[in-house]
Amino acid sequence: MLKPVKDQARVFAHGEIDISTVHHLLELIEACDNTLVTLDCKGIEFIDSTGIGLLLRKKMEMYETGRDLVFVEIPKHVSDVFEEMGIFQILEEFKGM
Amino acid sequence: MQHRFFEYLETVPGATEELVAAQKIQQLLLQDDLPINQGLTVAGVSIPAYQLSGDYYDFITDDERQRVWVLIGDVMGKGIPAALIMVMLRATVRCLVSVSDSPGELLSKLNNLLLKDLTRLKAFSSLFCGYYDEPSSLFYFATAGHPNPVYYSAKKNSIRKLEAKGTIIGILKDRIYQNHSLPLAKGDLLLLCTDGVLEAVDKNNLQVSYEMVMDLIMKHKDNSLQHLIEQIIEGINCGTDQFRRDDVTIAAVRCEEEGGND
Repeated sequence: MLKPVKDQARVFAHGEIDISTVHHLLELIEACDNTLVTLDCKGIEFIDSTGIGLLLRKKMEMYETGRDLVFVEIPKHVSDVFEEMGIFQILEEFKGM
Repeated sequence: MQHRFFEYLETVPGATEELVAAQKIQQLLLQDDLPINQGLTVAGVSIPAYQLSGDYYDFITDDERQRVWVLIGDVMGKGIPAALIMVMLRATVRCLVSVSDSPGELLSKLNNLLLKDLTRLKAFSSLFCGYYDEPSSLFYFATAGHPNPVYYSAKKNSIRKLEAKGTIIGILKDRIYQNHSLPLAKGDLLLLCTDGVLEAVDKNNLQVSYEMVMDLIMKHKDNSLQHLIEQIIEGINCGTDQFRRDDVTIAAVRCEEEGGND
């Protein structure tokens, strides 16, 4: 379980997240420089597997340095892709670490 | 990425020739001899978003154990970087086929073997893996984060998406992939695709759904597998750049012998 963190930021993702746009989002997340970054996924209209994979890699990178990236407000069409790729299973393991 | 790709072609001497050679190698690898098996017919098509693809399909015969392996995978990204990893994935899978007793075991071994390289490359891959066991007419399968296949039952004249779960390859070590089995009977059909098919946009700007793919299968299921795949590609317009966002790959398998029941 995540403990309450004062040093946190919230990033809102909008539109289409794929190989040609995901680096903008990753740059925004990186620029936050906070211990906890929350990615609000409500505005995502489309995301491909590359987009999800690179966000997951970013979470893993941050985790290794004592930071974290969490995904919230995940719409159904995005959650379906998460489910298919086994991302929720991976995220569950991070909670247990 | 596309911009960088064209920059590479324009600035590196001989890049176009290199690319054409790489395309030929990839097509040769994909167009390997199809298994000659009386119990099963197979077909596959892969269309890159750019010149090279990170997608992959393969059919491998294990004569000793009377199995035909069916694989379809998708390496993260597109173009040359994805194609290089795809070749690595294909070679590793081919080595593992003879030393794996089940699709789940193959996926677990593959994940651990490729984990270090994929982590260093910040990449990953999805892979659906299955084999048709001729003596029992059972199709065994497991998935590593790949879109599930669609299954058509000839006896019931019904179609549905198979349900299997598993995490993508190259993220965490020591993953366990659950095995599933499905009895196949004469006329039964499995259609496998990469997410490029389900991310394509049709003429009406609607994203392709499983339902659209299933409707097309029902409409063209009696054709040859090659023709069926062509009809699906035409039906969802993912054969044209205008509608395609990603590499697109479809593989199909049809059971040709009596036996099995659903």
